[in-house]
Amino acid sequence: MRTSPKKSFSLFFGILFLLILTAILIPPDLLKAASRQCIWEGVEKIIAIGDLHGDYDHFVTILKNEDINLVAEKDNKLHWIGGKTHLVQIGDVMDRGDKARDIFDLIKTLEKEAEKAGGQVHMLIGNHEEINILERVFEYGEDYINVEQFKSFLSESYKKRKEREFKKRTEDGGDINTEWKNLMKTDDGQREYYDNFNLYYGRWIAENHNAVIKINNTVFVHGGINEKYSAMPLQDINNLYFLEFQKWYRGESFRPKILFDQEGPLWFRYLATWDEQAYSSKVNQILANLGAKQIVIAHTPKIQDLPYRFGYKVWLVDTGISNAYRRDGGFLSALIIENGNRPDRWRLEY
Amino acid sequence: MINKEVISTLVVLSLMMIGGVNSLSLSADQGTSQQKELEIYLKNAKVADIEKGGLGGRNEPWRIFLDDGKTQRRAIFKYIDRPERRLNPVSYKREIAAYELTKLFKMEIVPPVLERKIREFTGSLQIMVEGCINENERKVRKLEPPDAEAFEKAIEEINVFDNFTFCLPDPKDILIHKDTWQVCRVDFMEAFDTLVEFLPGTTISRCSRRLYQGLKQDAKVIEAAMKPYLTAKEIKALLDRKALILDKLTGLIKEKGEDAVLFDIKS
Repeated sequence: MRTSPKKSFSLFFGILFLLILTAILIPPDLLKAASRQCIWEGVEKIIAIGDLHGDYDHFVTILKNEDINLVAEKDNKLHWIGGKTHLVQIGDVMDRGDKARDIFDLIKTLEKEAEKAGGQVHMLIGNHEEINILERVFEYGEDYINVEQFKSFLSESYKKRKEREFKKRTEDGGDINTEWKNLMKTDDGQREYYDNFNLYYGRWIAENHNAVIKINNTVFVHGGINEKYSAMPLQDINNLYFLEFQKWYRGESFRPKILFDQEGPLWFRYLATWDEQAYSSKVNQILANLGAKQIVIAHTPKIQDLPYRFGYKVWLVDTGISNAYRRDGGFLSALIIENGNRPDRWRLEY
Repeated sequence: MINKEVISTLVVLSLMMIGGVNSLSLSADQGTSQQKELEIYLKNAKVADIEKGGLGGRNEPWRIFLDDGKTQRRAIFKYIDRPERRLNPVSYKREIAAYELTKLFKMEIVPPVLERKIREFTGSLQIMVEGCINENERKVRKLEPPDAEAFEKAIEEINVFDNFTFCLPDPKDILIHKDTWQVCRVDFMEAFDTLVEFLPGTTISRCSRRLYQGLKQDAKVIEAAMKPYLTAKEIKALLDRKALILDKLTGLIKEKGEDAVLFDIKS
């Protein structure tokens, strides 16, 4: 049976009306959040890398290593050669080291190139990204943020102005580095850092990146997942982060449900510390809720320990990759998951 | 907030629970001799070592190794003081406020803590005493207290104190001494909210006599004790919650009788 032109016309405008109504009623934030993918199936090869803490050189060493082979240098630039591989950087690119900005810039490039090649680069949000976005990193002092990271996220004009000022001031003695350290303690210096960081990187992190993802039967998350969050769909967890970051950027006052939650995915530490015997049923429940075989976490440095806990169900990838952990015996590492086999840890001493 | 899983294996002082409180004119200077002794220790002992990052948590407390030449003890140092920030306002001063309240009420449920400068930070330094397990861990390990009634009373007292200080309940913040089963409450960095209501998900049905008597104290005494540590808004909310809880308890006493609502805590 054919529909009359009059009926088709009404149907077309009816649908159009509904679409416009939907667009008006659903907040654009929610539409954007809900559209971001966080579950992938049928991925042959996954490489997961833990906390980088500003160590660009070590990150590149891992990516270029012949066993990992995800990037290669061409025309003095690094490019994706990983094909359909999924690279998961499990958060905490920032703080402790010097070159978080360089890492972000490289990840921005690799995200685009990997997608074109049929692969993916997933940079998950870590608690250190969160404390920078939420403007609280300076509260922790120089253990977290050093002069080089501070300078790297300032605007060029501000940085040059301050350089001139400090040069003049130290002509008759004094130390420029001390001047920068002092600037880091001022409201002016901190405001400039936060504004510029958030403008070019914070918003990019918050608006385009997940906190938790699932690839095949493996969940990846920076801190961990407790029972409460494991019962939520991953999309809902990521949407909650997205929406609360948006509220933060809009300057709203609100009681966050997930941001800065000690039990939240960016901070939860107990999968790395719980007694394996006493908590095995809890971990089983968490994995059952997630519909996953295993979970890969970072956040809690496990340098001397085995890379897995709870009978290969929890995998730990924070091995102190950053040079900031040299004293603790840190080493470069990546977790390789191929063709559904048990993960395999690759390591390289530095 | 500190990593209680780690701390619970280390912490807590040998609590000396004191019975009913009669005096209504207590001052914040008061405290048991053991509390005073530990305060002097916290104030004067040398910092032998500092372990950063080992405890984890959003407020990145440090584990401090103290030595006064005779005794070595461990303590927790917290230094973030942002009571006015937009999201998750926190302050190390609230740790001290909670402790001072318990001193005022003669309830030894918070380990001694005071303000001290360590390296470039001024913060709260709280004693850690060995041999504890947290309430979460107790439940997972299915450990039953030898005196269930006494344990339940201690938990109920903490519930009322949590409502008073508006400290969100977290079983990992309730520490239980493995041998004595005495109970204490830690981590008040995020407490003392300016909301005047009962904590969501909690019900007050009973209260210890000593806390009840403490809550009946003159508001001015509490205000004076809290002034160094809390903002004016936080103190006002604290006093308003005090009235709210007293109303609730008074109503319960009228309805059920005093013995059904108030109880003594054995020392």
